[in-house]
Order: sequence, then structure tokens, then C-alpha cells
Amino acid sequence: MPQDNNPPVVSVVILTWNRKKDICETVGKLQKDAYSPLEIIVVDNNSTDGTAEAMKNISGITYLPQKQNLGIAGYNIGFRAATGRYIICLDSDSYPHEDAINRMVSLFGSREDISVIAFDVHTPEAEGKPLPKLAEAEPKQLFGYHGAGAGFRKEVFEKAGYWHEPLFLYMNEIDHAIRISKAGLKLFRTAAIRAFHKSSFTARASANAPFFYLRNSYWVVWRHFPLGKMIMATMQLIQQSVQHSIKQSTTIYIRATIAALLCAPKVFMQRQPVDEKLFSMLRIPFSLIFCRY
Amino acid sequence: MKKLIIKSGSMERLSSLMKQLGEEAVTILTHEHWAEAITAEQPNAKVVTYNFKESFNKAGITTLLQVEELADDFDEVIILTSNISGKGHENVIEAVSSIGKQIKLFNINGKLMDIDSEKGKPLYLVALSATLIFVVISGIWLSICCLLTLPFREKQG
Repeated sequence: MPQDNNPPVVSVVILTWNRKKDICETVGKLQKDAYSPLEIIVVDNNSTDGTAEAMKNISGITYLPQKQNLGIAGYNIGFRAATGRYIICLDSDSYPHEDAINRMVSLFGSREDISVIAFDVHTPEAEGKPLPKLAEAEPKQLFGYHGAGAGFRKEVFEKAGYWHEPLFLYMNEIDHAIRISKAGLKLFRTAAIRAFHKSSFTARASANAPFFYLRNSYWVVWRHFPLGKMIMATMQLIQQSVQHSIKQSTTIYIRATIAALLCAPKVFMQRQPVDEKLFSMLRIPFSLIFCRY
Repeated sequence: MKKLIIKSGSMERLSSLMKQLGEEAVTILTHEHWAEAITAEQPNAKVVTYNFKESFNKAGITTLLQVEELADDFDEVIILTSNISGKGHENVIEAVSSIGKQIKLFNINGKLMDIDSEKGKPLYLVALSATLIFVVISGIWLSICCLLTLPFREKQG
């Protein structure tokens, strides 16, 4: 693939909500990125901290403000607006290594079998540490990626669909990765393509995080797991919900379970279980949900 | 002091802990898909791979105790947690209870905590009853949902 004369446009889609300082930093780093042509798309989920004013003062980006907080649906707005051959998703508090986009384009160009590249996501403390060369780090096939850094061929969204909007927050990458695999597309990660994600636990110390994680986990199980595995996983999630509700003195897990059950008819309308072979390769750490308190 | 770190939290947590431990020699137990990344980021640490897909559990750890790198007599086992309290990691604590003289938790705030003895045992009977009730009600409801929506399921794509 001739890259020297006509390097393909890469679109970077970032969703932001009340992270003015972080999004300005991310956009600033992207605008200094070595790769060109780069299309930067910022979708704003109705921030109220001055993000809009800050973004309007930055030229050369596509700023898409929304009238309400749409959750991850905001990303889909950005993905649909993207004109690039390749699309990268970032969190508002993450940014790629200075050479990541170049390397991503190079890897996509040399490996037609790779449809999604999961960036190797680290904390900013890892910035400056040596990176293996692209040729030295063999890409490994995975069945999941981190929303703080992943690159897609544009056609992935046509074949596997966009992020599942009813999830609103959390588990959307896992749901999408399963659909990517079901569509026969392959996802790889290499240590040579890196992104940095600030660990902002306190900034997003949302008491609702366990609610969304658990509710969405039920939905992922019901949408994608083979019947027998679905029954087992559901029972385990219920058992852990009850157990941890008592241990952690909280009702959040029970509320999430009830919320998931109430929407079960709608979720089952979308049920398309994976085959057993694909299921055996999935690894979804459901136990982490109960570690949020 | 021989230390074993159980990577049951994120890479961010691990980096933070390693920074705190400084030059101390440690062994890190991790699932396979993280082994390469950790080896690259922590070249001075010994990395032992937990060759199972599930979360850390007693059976898996017992199997690994045969492995040379994990057969060491560790003075301290540190478990990375994803929260402040450390709650929710009981399965990992139970899994490593036979390794090391002392078990500590490294929480999201960067604090090393000793494991405190539980104040009051879990309410087993209450938990069991509640679980059974939930499972039965959920099972009936989900079965109805599954059967009734069968003719209306969305086609793939």
C-alpha cells in the first residue's frame, strides 16, 4: 500500500464531559502529532465547565457539542462523522504515544488481516520509557480493547456495528469486541503501539459506576453468551450481587440486577449468541465489578 | 524481604506500587495476556504467569506453587485492589492465604493496608436465602423473556 505519497486520513474521535483541562491537553498533543493528515473530532456530552468555549478557541478540530449527556452514543456520533480510512477512539484523558498513529497506519497497511488495533494503554508515568520497534513486537490476537486507545478500519463499524448505545457507560468495548469477532474480524494488540491514560479515580469516583458495570454485564451475557453459559453466568452474577451487597453494605448491586431484569425483554430481542469456540476465547473479568467500593 | 505481587488490578496500580517499592526485588504473578507488558515495563521483576483464564483462585494458585518461581518462601504478598476499601477481593485473599507470612492490599489511593480480621462473619443464611429467591424469580422471568422474544429476534448484521 503506497503510504508515502498519499498517507490515509486518520480520524481521532474523543468524547468529553466536564474534563476541560484533560481534553485541551489531549487535543494539544494530537495537534503536535507527527502524523498527517489527522482529523480530530471532539464530541461534547453537554459539558458545563467551559469546555465549549475552550474548544471553540482551538482551530483545526471538528467540535460536535450535544444538548445532553448521551453517554457512549456520543462516540457513535463521532465515528459516523469521521472521514478517515482509520478511526481512533480515545478517552478525554488519554493520548497516543507520539509515534503510535504512524505505527498504527503502518501495521494496518502491512497486515490486511488486522481490523482493529488495541493500543497498549499505560499510565503517563510510562511516558519516556523505551518502546519496542514495530517489527520486534509481534501483534497478538485479542478479544477485547480499551476505549482509551484503539484504532479501527472504518469498515469495522459497517460490518460489526457501532457501540451499543443503551449501555450508556461501561462494557461497551467488550460488547463491541464480541460483535467484531462474530463478524469474522480480527483484533490485535502490540506492545509497540502505546497510549497513555491518566488514572483519574477521584475525578470519576462515580457512585453509579458499579451499577452500570453490573447492569451492563447482565446485558452482555444475555446478548452474546451461549444458552448454557448464559444461565451459569447469570446465576453467578446474582450470587455475587447478593453476597457483595451484604459484605459491602450496599444496595447498588441489587438495584443493578433489578434494572437489568426489567429491561430483559428488550435485551433478549437483540440476543445473538456466539458459538462455543469463540466463547472459549473470551475473557471477561466480571469479578472486578464487585471491587468498585 | 521477598515480596510477591498479585496483579489483580490495573497496570496503573502496578506501576504505582512498583514506584513505591523502589529497588526491591519482587515477583509478580499475572495472567498471561499481561505478562509481556509487565516484563517490558518492569525488567527487574520476576514475572510468573498464571496460566488460567479465570480470576485468581485457590486451585490455580496451588497448582502454580509447584512452579519454581512461585515456590519461594515469600515474606509478604501484596494484592492490588481496584478500590479504596479492598473489599471484593476476598477470593484473591483466600487464594494466596497459603503463600507468604503477611498479606497486604495496595489500594487505589496508593496505600498499603494490612488485612483486618473481618468484623462479623457474612450472613450466610441470609445470603443463601436471598440468592435462591433472586435466582428463582430471575430464572422464571428470563425464561419468559427468552421464549416470548424468540420469534422477534433481530437478524445478525
